Amino acid sequence: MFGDEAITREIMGHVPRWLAVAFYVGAVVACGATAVVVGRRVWQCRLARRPSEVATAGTWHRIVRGLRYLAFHEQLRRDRFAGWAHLLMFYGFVILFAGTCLVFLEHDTPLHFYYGWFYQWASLVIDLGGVAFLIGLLMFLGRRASSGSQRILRGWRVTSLSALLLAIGVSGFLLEGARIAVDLPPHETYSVAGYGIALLLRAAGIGGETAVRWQQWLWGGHAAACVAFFGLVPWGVFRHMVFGLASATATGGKPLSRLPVAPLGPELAPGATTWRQFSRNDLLEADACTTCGRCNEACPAAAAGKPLQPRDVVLELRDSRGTWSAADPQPLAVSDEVLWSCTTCAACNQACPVGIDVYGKIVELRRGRVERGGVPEAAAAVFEHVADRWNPFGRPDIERMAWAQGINVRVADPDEPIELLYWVGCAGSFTPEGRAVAQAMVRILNRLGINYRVLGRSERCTGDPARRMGEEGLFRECATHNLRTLRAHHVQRLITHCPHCFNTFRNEYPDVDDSAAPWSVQHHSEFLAEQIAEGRLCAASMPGDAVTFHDPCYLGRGNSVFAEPRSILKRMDLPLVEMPRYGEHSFCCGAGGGSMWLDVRGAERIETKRYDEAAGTGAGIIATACPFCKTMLDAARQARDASSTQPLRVLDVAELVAAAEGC
Amino acid sequence: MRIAVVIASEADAGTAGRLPAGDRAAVHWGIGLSRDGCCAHCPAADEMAAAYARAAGARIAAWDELRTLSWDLAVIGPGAIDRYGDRLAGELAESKEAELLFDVLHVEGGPRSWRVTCNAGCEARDLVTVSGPAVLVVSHRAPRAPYISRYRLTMASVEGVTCVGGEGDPSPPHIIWGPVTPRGPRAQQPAPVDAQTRGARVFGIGGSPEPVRERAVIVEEPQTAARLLLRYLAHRGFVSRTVADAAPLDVPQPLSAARPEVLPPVAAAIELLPVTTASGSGLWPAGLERSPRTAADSPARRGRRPRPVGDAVGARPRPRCENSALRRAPRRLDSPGAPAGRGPYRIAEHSSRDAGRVETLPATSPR
Repeated sequence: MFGDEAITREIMGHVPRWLAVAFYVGAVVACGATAVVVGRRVWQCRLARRPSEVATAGTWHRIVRGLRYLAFHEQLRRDRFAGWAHLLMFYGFVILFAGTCLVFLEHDTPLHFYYGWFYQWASLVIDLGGVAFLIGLLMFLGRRASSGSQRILRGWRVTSLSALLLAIGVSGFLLEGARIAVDLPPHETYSVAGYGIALLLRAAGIGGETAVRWQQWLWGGHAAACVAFFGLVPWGVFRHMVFGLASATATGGKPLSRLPVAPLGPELAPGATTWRQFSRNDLLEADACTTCGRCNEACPAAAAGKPLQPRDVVLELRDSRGTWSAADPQPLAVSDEVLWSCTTCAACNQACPVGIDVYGKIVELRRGRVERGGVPEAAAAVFEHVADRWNPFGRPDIERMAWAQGINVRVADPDEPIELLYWVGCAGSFTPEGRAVAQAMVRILNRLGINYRVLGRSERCTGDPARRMGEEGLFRECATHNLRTLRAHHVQRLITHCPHCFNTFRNEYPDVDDSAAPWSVQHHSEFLAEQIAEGRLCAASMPGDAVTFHDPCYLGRGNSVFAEPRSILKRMDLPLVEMPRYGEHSFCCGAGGGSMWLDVRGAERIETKRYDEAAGTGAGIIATACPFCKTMLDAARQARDASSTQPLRVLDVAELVAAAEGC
Repeated sequence: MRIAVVIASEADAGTAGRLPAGDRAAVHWGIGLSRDGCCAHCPAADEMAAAYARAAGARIAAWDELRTLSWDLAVIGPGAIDRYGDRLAGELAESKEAELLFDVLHVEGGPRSWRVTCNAGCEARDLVTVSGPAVLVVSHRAPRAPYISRYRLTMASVEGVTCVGGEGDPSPPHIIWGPVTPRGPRAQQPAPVDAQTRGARVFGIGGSPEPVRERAVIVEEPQTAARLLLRYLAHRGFVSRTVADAAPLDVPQPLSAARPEVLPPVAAAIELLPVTTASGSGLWPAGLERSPRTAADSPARRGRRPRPVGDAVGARPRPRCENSALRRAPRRLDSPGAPAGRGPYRIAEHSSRDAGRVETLPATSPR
């Protein structure tokens, strides 16, 4: 069927029987141990008290996505070097594993197919796979040795596991070379790497009986390394081979800035302090961690020298779950400073190659602290302000419409049906930067002649700050009230200039009440881009300084709105200069996750780092589309440019459009 | 040691109520100090207060039991005081012959006595050691209590927290509120005038070219109107303050429910003397003479105006003083920058009615 049956090789030739038996016994024991450990970890996941979030995508969709994830490594190749290295290793490993399975089938089953041209081509492919595996591994080892990056874990465990893989790869090629060197059969030239090594061995005087003895020793070493590998699969960095794909496909597909739903009930308090209080998916994800440290590298808090290292939080969750321990779980050793440093910008989630929801776990731990009363005073003050005054700034509610003084604003009457609701938000109502944006938006809306309304004093905080800071119950209260208000007004369309409100309305309120969103939600940058594209706003050219756009995390990374604000700026003929980190790799302004009110000290300030990036572009204007970002960057501007003669201006896209429209 | 906590939420327009921070602190102090558990007493139907106490871990007790149960320490929140007045604290203290301390900022205690920190004003603190029954009224400025999440509050409410009210539930002070005239639109309001003219208009004094509107005139019982007029005249220096103070404070109840007739203004009935800062009433030294500012005042005097409150007042940064921490914090005993003649301060113990009281007193400056 496959040609000449003489073109093949003797499987386990020259291998003593006892060694072959020892290998089989060792392999069975190692695989059995791996199965037991993996089974134990999976069984522990079933002990998780909190139900997992229902996946947003269907089963087939997730399977297809998982296969695509494996085949193309899109997530991994965001770090190009590591992505290609892993791709080589992965495909090399798959090919080697397939080759081993072929050999097993030929040797230990009645099947007979490993001969002729099939054997020759299989040998070629397996050799190339082995070479790819070794190249990928050497790329990783080279970077590990040469790079001074803090994100790379260094330790004897990681090093020994890497050495084991190297030993498997190198011993496999040497074994093949020794086998071929015994008699140098001409059909083995398809085994390009093995034949080359055999020629080298022959040149070194190793052939015949000497090569047979080499083959026996190398076979034993290779088999021992493989058995060790089988047994170590559920440990350390190898663990991601089992859990990585499951993690990447289990909960994927949700917007990055959407927090998982926290089911509340008499028996189920929100939040977690021990691993049992997390969800099954959380535990699965923790096991999938590859310890690559990309989350640490992307984290703005870590970059600013704050104590948060997202990888450490995930590893603490993973390691706090002893595989065999039956004792009551201990609280996770994550300090308050670590927890409250997070800005919930989701940069860690974006960077993670196996799709771990890192900041979701941080928020879960925050919820646990809130339930036990262990929150910083500033956080407690924010909660009380939201509960008592319905805004996180603690300003009296009577000031909510102070921004509208002197401009014509259409405030909705009670229960008046609203075609287009402009949701001003607390930042737009109470902060000077936000008020300027709200005024600009109202002027634009008046210019457009659209039948819009604002809710005025009926508006309340969406609950986003409270939710990010761990107060799930308060968020539910705010959501319930706002949904009731919106339903009473029969709102058809909602626009807001605050990405946090936008994210809450679009992604999180439907979780509170699945019948909650008969309205469409738009961010004001989408709305303005739409109006400009349809010709309702002319957005006249504004000769002026170059502009750089800061992507708000909850707008860009969280909801994939990147193009619209840039299209507005381009339409105004403003020269757009991008910062080094933009788009989905944008850097946080430092206000999210309650950091607007909480401040964990670091070596630097996050907003100052971001402002420096913006100033480095040479632009004269920092445009943004979030009142919180505007506030933070403006504060950084004041800190940096106190003595500068020509400081940067920080403006919202709505302010730029209003200026261009002359309204 | 039995501890009773008395709390009440303050009702706010449009909300279900709000438990003041001091009441929250009272609950946590009670829980922290008690070993046998503390009882929280809440007014009837005040479910917010009851839910909070329960969520914090206190037992809910009937209001009546406040008088019948024995306790060693009663901690009263400012919300309860706002609702029932100081009388509540006084009655409790009298019923048990207990020490009564107001404006308490902190309390820590052992099995036999408590060390209480009271607010003595001007950032000063009184450190008082009390033993035996005591009634502590928590200050509005008490430190923030540990946060109780909304989930716990909700669960405490769901579990059927009911406030047990009884016949002995003290009713709030009987207050009859008069009719409230809503403020008119700004455009309809008269142009702002100086204080002198406003005062004259209120009393219908002076040759106002436009007719004095009825609502500008004080309409009251004769005694009240007379008392207010005397206060105004004393304020302007036309009569001595002793005369004004001699007016009875307790206004008798009106003899009839009917409102008195509006009397015509006594415009220009009295020849008023021009008021100058130089020549006052003669009753007070020139430096102590008080009168409203006028446009004719010196620039320094006119400059002492309150800050205008505009829409952007919140946006304006408050001037920061580098030494504000030194100036505003309680004075340290070894403060090197204490002004001569006023410090250094020392803690002096003295015997008084409150045994064991420790106060901060200024030491006589060594000369």
